[in-house]
Amino acid sequence: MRVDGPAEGPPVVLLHGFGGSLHWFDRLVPLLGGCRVIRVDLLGHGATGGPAADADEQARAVAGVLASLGMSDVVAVGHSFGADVALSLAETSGRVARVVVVAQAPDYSDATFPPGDFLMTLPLVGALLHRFAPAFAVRAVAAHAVAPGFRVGATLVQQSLEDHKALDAGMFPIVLVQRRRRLAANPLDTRVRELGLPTMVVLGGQDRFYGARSARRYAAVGARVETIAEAGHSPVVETPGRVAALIQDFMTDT
Amino acid sequence: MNPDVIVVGSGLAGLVATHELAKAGKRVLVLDQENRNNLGGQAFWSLGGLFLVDSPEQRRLGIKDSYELAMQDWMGSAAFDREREDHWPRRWAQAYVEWAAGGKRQYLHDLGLRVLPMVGWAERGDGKADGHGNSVPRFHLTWGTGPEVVRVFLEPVLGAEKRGLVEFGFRHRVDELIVEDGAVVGVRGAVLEPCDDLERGKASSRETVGEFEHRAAAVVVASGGVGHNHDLIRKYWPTERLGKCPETLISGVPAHVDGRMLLISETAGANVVNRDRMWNYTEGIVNWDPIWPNHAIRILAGPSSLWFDAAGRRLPAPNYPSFDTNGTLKAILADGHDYSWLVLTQTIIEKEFALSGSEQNPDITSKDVKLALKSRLAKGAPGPVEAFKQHGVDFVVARTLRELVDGMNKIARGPKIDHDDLERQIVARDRELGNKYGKDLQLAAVEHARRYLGDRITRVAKPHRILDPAHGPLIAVRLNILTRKTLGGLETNLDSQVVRADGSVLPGLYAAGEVAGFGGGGVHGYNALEGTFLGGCIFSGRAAGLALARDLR
Ligand SMILES: Cc1cc2nc3c(=O)[nH]c(=O)nc-3n(C[C@H](O)[C@H](O)[C@H](O)COP(=O)(O)OP(=O)(O)OC[C@H]3O[C@@H](n4cnc5c(N)ncnc54)[C@H](O)[C@@H]3O)c2cc1C
Repeated sequence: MRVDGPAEGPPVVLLHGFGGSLHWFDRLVPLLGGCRVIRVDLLGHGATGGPAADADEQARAVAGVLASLGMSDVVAVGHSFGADVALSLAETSGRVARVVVVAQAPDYSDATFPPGDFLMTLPLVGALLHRFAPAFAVRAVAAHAVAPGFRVGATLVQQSLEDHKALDAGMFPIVLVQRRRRLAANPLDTRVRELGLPTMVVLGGQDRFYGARSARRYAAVGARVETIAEAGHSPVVETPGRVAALIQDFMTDT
Repeated sequence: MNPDVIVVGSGLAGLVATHELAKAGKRVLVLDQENRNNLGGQAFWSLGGLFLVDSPEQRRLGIKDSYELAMQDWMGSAAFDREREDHWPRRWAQAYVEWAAGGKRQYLHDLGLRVLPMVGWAERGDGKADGHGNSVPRFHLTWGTGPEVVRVFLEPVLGAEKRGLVEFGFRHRVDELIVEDGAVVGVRGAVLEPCDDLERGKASSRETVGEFEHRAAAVVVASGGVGHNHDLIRKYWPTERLGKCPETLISGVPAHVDGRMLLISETAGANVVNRDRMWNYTEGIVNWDPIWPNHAIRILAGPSSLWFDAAGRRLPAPNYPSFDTNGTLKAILADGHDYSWLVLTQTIIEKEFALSGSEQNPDITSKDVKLALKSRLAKGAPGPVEAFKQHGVDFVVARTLRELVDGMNKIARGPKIDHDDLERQIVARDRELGNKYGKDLQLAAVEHARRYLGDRITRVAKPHRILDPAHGPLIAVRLNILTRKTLGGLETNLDSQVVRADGSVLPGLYAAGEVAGFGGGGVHGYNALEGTFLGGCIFSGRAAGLALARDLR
């Protein structure tokens, strides 16, 4: 866990995506000047490690962190799989005032995953592949996570490799299989509507995982939708300045 | 024509804004005080160097760059320290580095612009990791230099002119922004005497033959900096920071860079910030074949030449060529004179001297591969450098140091150089070459630079004794202060909307390019990393165009 910014600043909790870590927000955090920013490595990820967990269990753990810090009325920002966690957190903890969904479609109906990903979902094969995944494969997935033409950069590649090493293989079936079913049954746009909290959705215009249909679906349930044309699936690293400006603007939205 | 937007200035920033607006179907009236031959403004004369971060070209050369490293360098160089005036510049700086590490290369590539495979290392800095300077090479030269940077925007704009979306008003000098009910609604000015045949870059007549008034929903000011207006430069010169303003200034920009629109915009309610921040170079030589009045050329020297102040004392570390522009300027002015000396050998001039400007690099400007290889890799200095060596008033060439000093003293504007003292300093430096290591920090920097492949191949001569006749003849160059870029300007938000003194937006007025301090009213802060000016014009011009395309009904 890491906390940045002034103690009296408005609280923001940042939730990273599948296979990531709190370092995916290293570029964003310095740009959220004035905010109290809380980040954690999710269960099964980064320095937290431990067994894999689904979004609900992740949310319970994060709620525990917020409780121990005595924080409420937070803005919960979830990137990719972190969006599921942010919504669960908002639904169950009572500590969330606003939700920001970054680069996450309501469900997988409009999604494309890098070739070979399904292998990772097979229990044993997945674990083995994960263990021995060559650096170039990790790099290829990292490249898929940004807009075409965006250069992932040495820092980010190194980060992806480290995050991948730390990742618990049990996360693969949770995200790639169970999550598909959960999202089909209860897509995020429905959850945003039922939640009833102010929600902003930030999408990358060149997201290679998710198509462009999300924007209309989220808008239809009353969310504020912002599309960053040149960003891919990772606006938090590709266009951190734009994302930070949107979050700060959304925080003062009435 | 009934334009949606009026753009003042057909330099790079104006063309980029116009391109984005026309792309979105808006009608644009572009006004410029010069004739059609001058389309593209200063950018045409530029070297076309572009600041890119973590590019494929860098990676091919083994350079490890990143957004993080570039932000560290940018913020260290900018040294923003003003709460109010640096508010938007800070935001622009982050946005610009983000773009340089992200979408910039693709945006230009899609327009057809290509860069050379060798990446240059400009502004190597003040010696501190978190201080000024580029930690790694980032200066990407456009294949085709400045004219190519102009072409990729001009061609689509001329296409839009044919389709009737864009109209030009040349020889239209804007003298006033029309403000009604607190908003800018148009421009007024004078039509200047026609001069269709006057060549690009030549100073034109200011005789007026008529008046004009045009109105539109918005006006974009893209009129460039103050570089040719020495009165304004003197007025805002930061004496306490850099020392007394030079008496002799030579002009690194054409006469149209007159800074008038700054005052005109201010009168209309715009806020001008950071006026004391400027980017003038210390390596100016008088152009023996001038295009504009008082025409100065900047030498881009590699790190080996020895640099002395007017009195012949070696400048303190790390004031070596291409390290720290403002730091060196201060060191030069410190002894009360306004020029300095480079002392070097024929070997160094052949490998390490380049001249900034498209017309001084005919091989790359004309995209002639054979000529480029021949002039850059073959023996002898590139043609234009050799021409300066022979015709330039600032050059002294001699077989012996005594003859060299005699020549220097003939053109010195200040104190006479003492031969024995100069010889003592050069011999001391040459003696340090006895070992692979030593205490001369400049030699260490040279050795260090040669670890970068790009420098070793094209830019940095093998260390040798300056007084070794085998590397002669000896060359001395009198370097003058050359005016170039304006780092401050009209305060703008990230949509390039001009801001008033009270911080609110001035409705209807936008500003882009050098007049806006390349974004925000001073995206560079106190110091630039080079190759950031063209990019700043493109980024801020694009921001204005995109915002207007979005917001205009
Ligand atoms: C020799 C040289 C080399 C350079 N090399 C590089 C480089 O390698 N990399 C880099 O990044 N930058 C470089 N630069 C800097 C860069 O070229 C300029 O900063 C940039 O082109 C400025 O563009 P602009 O559109 O803001 O202004 P300008 O090019 O100055 O255009 C402004 C236009 O507005 C018109 N105008 C002004 N006032 C009025 C008025 N009142 N009414 C009507 N029209 C008006 C002018 O006539 C002019 O056409 C170089 C500059 C020079 C001169």
